[in-house]
Parts: sequence; C-alpha cells; structure tokens
Amino acid sequence: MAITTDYLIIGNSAAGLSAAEAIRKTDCEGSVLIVSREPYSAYGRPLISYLLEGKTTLDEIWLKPEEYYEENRLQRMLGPDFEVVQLLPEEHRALLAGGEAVEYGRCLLAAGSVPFVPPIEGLAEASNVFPFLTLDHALAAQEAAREAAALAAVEGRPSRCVVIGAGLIGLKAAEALCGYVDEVVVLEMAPRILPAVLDQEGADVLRQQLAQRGITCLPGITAQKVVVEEGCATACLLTTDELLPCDFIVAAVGVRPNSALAVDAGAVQGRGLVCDSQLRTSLPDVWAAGDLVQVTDAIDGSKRPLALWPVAMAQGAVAGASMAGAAEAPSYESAFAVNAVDFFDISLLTAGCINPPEDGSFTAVTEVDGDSYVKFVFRDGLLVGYILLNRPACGGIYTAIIENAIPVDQLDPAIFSAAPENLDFPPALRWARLHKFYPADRDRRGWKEGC
Amino acid sequence: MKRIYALEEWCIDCKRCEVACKVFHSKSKDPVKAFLYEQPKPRNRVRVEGNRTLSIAINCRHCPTAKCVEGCISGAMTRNPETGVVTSNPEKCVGCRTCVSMCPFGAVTIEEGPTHPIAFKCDLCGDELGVPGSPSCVAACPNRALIYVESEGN
Repeated sequence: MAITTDYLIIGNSAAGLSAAEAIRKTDCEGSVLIVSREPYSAYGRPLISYLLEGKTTLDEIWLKPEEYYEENRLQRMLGPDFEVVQLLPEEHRALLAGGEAVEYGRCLLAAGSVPFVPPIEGLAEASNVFPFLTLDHALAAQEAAREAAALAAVEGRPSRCVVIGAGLIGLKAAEALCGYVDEVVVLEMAPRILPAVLDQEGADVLRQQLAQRGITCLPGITAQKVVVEEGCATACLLTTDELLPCDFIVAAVGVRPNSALAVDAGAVQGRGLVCDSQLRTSLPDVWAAGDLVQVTDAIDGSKRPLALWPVAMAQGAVAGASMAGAAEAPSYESAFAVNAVDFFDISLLTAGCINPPEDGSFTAVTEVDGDSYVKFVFRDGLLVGYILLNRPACGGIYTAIIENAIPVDQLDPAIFSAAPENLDFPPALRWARLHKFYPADRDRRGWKEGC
Repeated sequence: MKRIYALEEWCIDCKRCEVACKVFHSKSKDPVKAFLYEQPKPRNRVRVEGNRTLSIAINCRHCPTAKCVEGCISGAMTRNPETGVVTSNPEKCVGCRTCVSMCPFGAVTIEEGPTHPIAFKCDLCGDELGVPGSPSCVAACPNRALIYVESEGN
C-alpha cells in the first residue's frame, strides 16, 4: 500500500525544513512528509568542517530539537531506502529506493547539490578519495586523516592530505584537516584560490595568510592523474609533472544541482531548475527550493544556481507558503551571493559582483591595510559588490546597501573607509531603517501626544 | 512585541547603555570586574555610534523576518515565534559570521567566547533565550534616548 501525504518534501536540509515551517504557518492540518537518503536529522551542512575542528559537536549540529518535528507534525523517512528514485508528477507519485511509493498532493524538490567528480584519471577508482558535502563525507575524511597521521608517525614521515579545489568547500576542508595531518596541500586549476568569491589581489593576500597557518595552496596547478596502488591513491601527478605523494585526497572541485529526478520527469532545466516567482517548476504541483533552483542574479541578470544557505532558507519560505496556498504568498525574484567564511582567525565576507567585466560600466576601489584587504565595486552610482577580508565589522550594512540599491551619493563617503555606521545614512532613511513599527502615538522625541 | 527604539535627538554619546549592557551580561554584575578582570570578557550588545555631531545607540531590531536567522548555518540564531525575540545560542554558534554579513544594522558581532569566537547580540536582557527581560540599556539611559515600548509590529 502506498504512503500518502498532502505535502512531500524531498530533501532534509535548509530549503526543505524552511518550506515545512512555512507550510505550517498557513496549513496546520495537512500531512507533511520529509524524505531524504541521509539517515540523519537535519543538520547544519556547512558545520561539517567546524565539527572536525571541535567548534561544534555531534550533540549540537542538529538544526531543530527532536520535539520540533513532533510538535509541528512533520513526518520524516530518512535513510537510503527513502531516497526518491523516480518522480511521476502526472500521477502525483514518487517511488522510493526501498520499493515503496508515496502518493502526494504537492511536492517540493529540495535535494540540494551533489559533488562534481572531475575527470582526473584514477580519481574515481581510489577508495581514499572523499567529497566534503555531508556528515558522512566529513566523518570518513576525519577517519582517514587519523589513520594517515598514525601511519606516517610509525613510518617517520609527515602525513599529507591533498585537497583538489580551492573553493569554499575545499578550503574549509583543508582548515578542518589541518588539525589532523601534518601537511595539507590545496590544488586549484584557476589562477587564484576562491575563484568565485575573491579577486586576484585578495586571493594572494589570503593565500599568504593560509600558508602561515599551515595550508599550502597551489593556484594554477591541479592533478592530471592520481596514482593508485592497491585501490588507494598514493600520489597526485600535478600539471607541472611533479609527483606529490599523499595519504588521502579530498575532492572539492565543485557541485552541481541534484535535479536529475526532476529532469528525468521532464522538468525544464537551465543551469538549475527553471522556476516561476513562486518557485513552481514546470512540472504540475512540483515546487523547488535551494541549490537546485536556477536563480536570476540581482546584479548582472545572469541565471544560475546560488548554492548558499541563506538563499535556500529564503526559497524554502517562499515555496512553502505557495504550496500551502498562503493568502499573501511572497515571491522570489532574484538574489545575489553573500558569503561569510572564516579560516582559523581569518575572516572573509564577500557579496555581489567581485570581478566585474572590464566594459567601463563598473568602478572598483581596493585597499590593503596590514592583514586586511577590502574591495568595493560600483555601477551607476550603486554599490554592487564587496570583499571584506579581515574587516568584518558591520558588513551586513553594506549587504543592505546593495540589496536596497541605496545610491552611494546619499551616504557619507566615510562609510567605505572604515566599519560602516547607521549614521552614514541620510536622516530620513536612517529613521526609516531604525524605527520600523515605531509606535504611532509617539513623536520622534519619544513623547506621546499632549504629554 | 515591545522593542527598544533609540532617539538620536536625546543621545549625548555617554555610552552608559554600553556599560549597563556589559555589566548585565557579566558574571560578576560588577562594572570594575566586568571591564577589567572577567574572562572571557563580557560583551556589550548595544553600541553607540558617535564621535560626530550626532550619536545613536544601535541594537538588534528583532526583525520579523530576521536575516541573521535566515542565514544562520548552525541553528544557533533563532526567533522565538511567540515573543519575537531573536537570540543566538552560544552552545550552537560556530562563529562563521554569516549573521554579521546579513544584519542590515551591524547589530551582531563575533567576539571571543568560552571556547571559540561566537555571535553576541541583544537578548533584551532575558533570563533565557527568546524571553524578554527588562533592558538594562534603557534603564541606564539618563536622557530617555532609549525607550522600550510596544511596537506596531510583531
């Protein structure tokens, strides 16, 4: 007999949980079923590197307390048997890996990203190559690192991990594994580390700081081949023809939308699933939220997935409200990337357009000051992007200036030379920003009428 | 919900709100110990922007759709659905600064915590997370430049 549910949510992370919460705001009665191939309660996926560093624990990484699911009557089926293997949108049915079928009213695709495996000879066959996206990946890499350190100590040599890919995931993995093995070497095909969120100058500053903390990054160099002995990767043959011995490898080259289920069912896909402003896919009664959705970039108009936690949360809220038929359903039009990441004591905040095209329509100012590197990108009198390396204070004020398209000439010019302040905004805008929901019976002095 | 509003017309940049906040959030509740001796250092969650012809105290707006909550990767930052109070759970916070990059007002800071840097923000001086108390900054303000009043929104 098939399982039946009013709402089926495929994926048990930010987007799925946010959607479930939004559904419950409108529909307290309908049955909600969350399915995922991962056997765990929802956890902060980006926390896996912090877990390995000891900044969080297996008791603290869960996003919601267990009673939350009961209180909100969110049914969960978690584990490999509950992976949806086929979606039949016309019949409103989903087939599970374990053989069961789910009959649903409305379905949300929120299955996130899957790691992209680069076509490097030997990489796919080695047993000691780990992606770094899930809790299981992280725990496996941790175990490999411990074994590598123990073996290297016996053999009297340094233990070494090679990370392929110096994106956010690769560098966070490198930071985490630094505490376990003697040497971490990060390869990056692009000419700089963090190619998506830094420019060349900022990347050079960060690379030096990482080197001082024990992470060697080799931009412009990747592995042309992985040497495999008895099923295990033992070295990388670099594009420089040098041989780099290693104990294990983390492959963090990138991710792609985990949208095969929808595409197989006939959904329209660009670089991610194509959705309307309510995040409905082209399939009947199927919505999508999170990493697998194609988003319109608010700054350059390009269309691509934005695989970021806040984006997934915001999309989940919109999709959930729409699925439940909320009276004032919000819409999702566009977004821009905001990234916050820390490596050891180094902080990096970036947003929007970092590497503008050199077509004359953008201007940029940069400043290096000791350990900090700051860049602001402008277009048509608006701030459209920033890098704040080691100058995080009040960075969200800049994010708000981008999001709300506040003309730069209205702001105190000093706002870009040090931590931004609310006093840098013009009086009327400042009042409006800081006094939302201000009591109607008080004036701006805080006094009530007639007192 | 009741919110704190800052009125720049009356603010004299005296920073007594910062002192009161730091002392309330200290273990000793003693200004000298809080400022000079306690480790980890107690942190003020209200911050006076001043040193110019104007000054104003900035603290969390407890936004209905709080961007810090939306961005939090660890589930530490939450908004209590009943009270509307936004707080960060120090046990869960990993200090990634996503909240810092998302807060439109600069009302969250990452400072040294018991084991690693974590987020600090206004908790309305409640005894427990998500429950408002009596804000110390408002009580300490000599000029009623900070008021704690029922707002028009939740």
